[in-house]
Amino acid sequence: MTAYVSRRLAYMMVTLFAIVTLTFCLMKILPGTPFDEERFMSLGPARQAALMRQYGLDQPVHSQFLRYLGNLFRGDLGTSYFYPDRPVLDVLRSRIGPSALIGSQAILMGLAVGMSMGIVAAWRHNGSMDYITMVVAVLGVSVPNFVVAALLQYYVGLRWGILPVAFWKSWAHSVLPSVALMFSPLASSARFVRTETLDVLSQDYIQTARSKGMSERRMLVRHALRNALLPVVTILGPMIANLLTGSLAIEKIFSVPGIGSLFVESIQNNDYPVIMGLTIFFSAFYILCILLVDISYTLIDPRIRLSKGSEGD
Amino acid sequence: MIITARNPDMPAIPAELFTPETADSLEMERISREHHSAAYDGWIRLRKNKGALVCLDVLALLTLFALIAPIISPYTYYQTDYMAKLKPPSAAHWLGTDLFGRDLWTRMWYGTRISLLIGLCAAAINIFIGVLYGAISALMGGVVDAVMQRTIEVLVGVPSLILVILFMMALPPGIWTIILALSVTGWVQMARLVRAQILRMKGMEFVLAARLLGTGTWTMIRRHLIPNTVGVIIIQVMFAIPSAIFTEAFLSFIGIGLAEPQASLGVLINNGYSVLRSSPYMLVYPAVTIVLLMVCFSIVGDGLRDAFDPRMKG
Repeated sequence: MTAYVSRRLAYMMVTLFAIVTLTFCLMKILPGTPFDEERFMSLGPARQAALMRQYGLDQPVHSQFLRYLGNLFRGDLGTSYFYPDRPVLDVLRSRIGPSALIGSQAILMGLAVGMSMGIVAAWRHNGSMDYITMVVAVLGVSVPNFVVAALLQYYVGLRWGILPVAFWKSWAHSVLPSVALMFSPLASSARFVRTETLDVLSQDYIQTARSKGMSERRMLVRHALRNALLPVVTILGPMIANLLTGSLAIEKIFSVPGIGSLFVESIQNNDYPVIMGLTIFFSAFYILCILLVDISYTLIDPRIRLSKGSEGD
Repeated sequence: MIITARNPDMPAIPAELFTPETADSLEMERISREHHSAAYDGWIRLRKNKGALVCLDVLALLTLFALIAPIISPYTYYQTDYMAKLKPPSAAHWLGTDLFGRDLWTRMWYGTRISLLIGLCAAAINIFIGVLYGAISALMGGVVDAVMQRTIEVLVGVPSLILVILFMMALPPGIWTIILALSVTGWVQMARLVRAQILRMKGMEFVLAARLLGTGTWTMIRRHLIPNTVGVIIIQVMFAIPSAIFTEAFLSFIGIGLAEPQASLGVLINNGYSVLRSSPYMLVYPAVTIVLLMVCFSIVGDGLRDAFDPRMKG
């Protein structure tokens, strides 16, 4: 176990290093300097050169890279170009709250609704609930979440005026973004749980339980649920990854001051330090999630052995 | 050979009635049925799946429209007409016009064409790299396999969308940039699947039997390994195409995909969203088209998975 985790952690570091290097190179390929915009042009060449010096951009690329790596090790992600006096870490920290709230609400609601739908669908296999679940599952992965968000904003927010359309003032402002973000985890968990439960219900031990006269409810709760819900952990990784993706478009639509909209903004502002910081943050978060999912799955399901699961397929 | 227990009542068969049967013992022993590829087997099973067939027809229809509609339309996708801005559907403009008076019917199908093109090209590149990588890794084995697999393990950790966005920023905007960006990490899944499938088959008895009977490496690859991997590849392609279309739409929606006056489903959704209050129909057309594409690809993909691997349930 320890060997496995340390091996995975080592991979994590290599992956992160590769991402940092690649991001750094891509940032250097970008045409022009970050101070080409109008608000910097008025400063004149002397002040611009001073700015370049201040950010260390006058030095050769390799020493810039080494300095960035060194600072990264000390937990320093540099200073934003767009907010000149604010460290990137500071900007990031101020924007993470809304994203975390929306993301966790979306995942919790999506999982709760999706898993219940999946179980009922499998229990009443080929019944009306089963068909509804399958339709929801197919639509949930087929309708882009920014379309869902746009429609929610238009109907629920504008036409019916039930919930706030945009911005971030109260908890009510987080409802529509969370709902828009919820559909993808809902659909994937509903579909997954349905398949798993169908599989479990056809197992011999369920037949045995039934033939011994166990009540449907007890059989479902005591036997089927436990075994069907365990594998849900495996799809949590991709689910969280999708959430990150979704947050970019949805935070933009609902003007949520989260890290997703920060990423889009810093792309538009050529704010390279923030882009790099966010890329590293997203990647680290993503890799960590996948690692935790893998470890927790082996911990809760004794049938899986780590050495086997780590063979690449 | 002397036949000792000859029936005395039967007349002797004259020797000239016997014709020598020239049996090539190698030919007889070769373990390979009449070429009935895995793809053909899958097709036979897919034909029984009504839903998948309907979706396949819808996809064909959408593709046909995407190819033909922009050609026979009297308008072009970039032709503006400021006299006819944001017009609702009419006889002149079947789906109405956009903010610049461009014909939406033409733009819609042109956009569908671009989205399909991006999906197909990205999927094709992913197959090419993925299959090559996976096959080399599985067939070479040893150190080569180990190095290639460690590389993949590093790549799997990369959140692909972030990387795609960074590539989009660094390279000049356009269709080929999107396709290139989508191909940077898109092939990883394909490579893993192909490698796993080939490794699985290498351990199977029919491969061992074929090898024992003297089948050479290339014949083995051509007759046994490739036909049995086709299913996995086709299924993966059916998921790779919509995923590429989806990512393109997402990129164009947040404003770093294709640029005006180019059209793709993502650009059209973005345009529609900007005038949602006054002309909600502008968002509806491309949204319905992309949903139709995604639903059909996903149902056909599921159908193919059931058809090629009956043991796997969707």
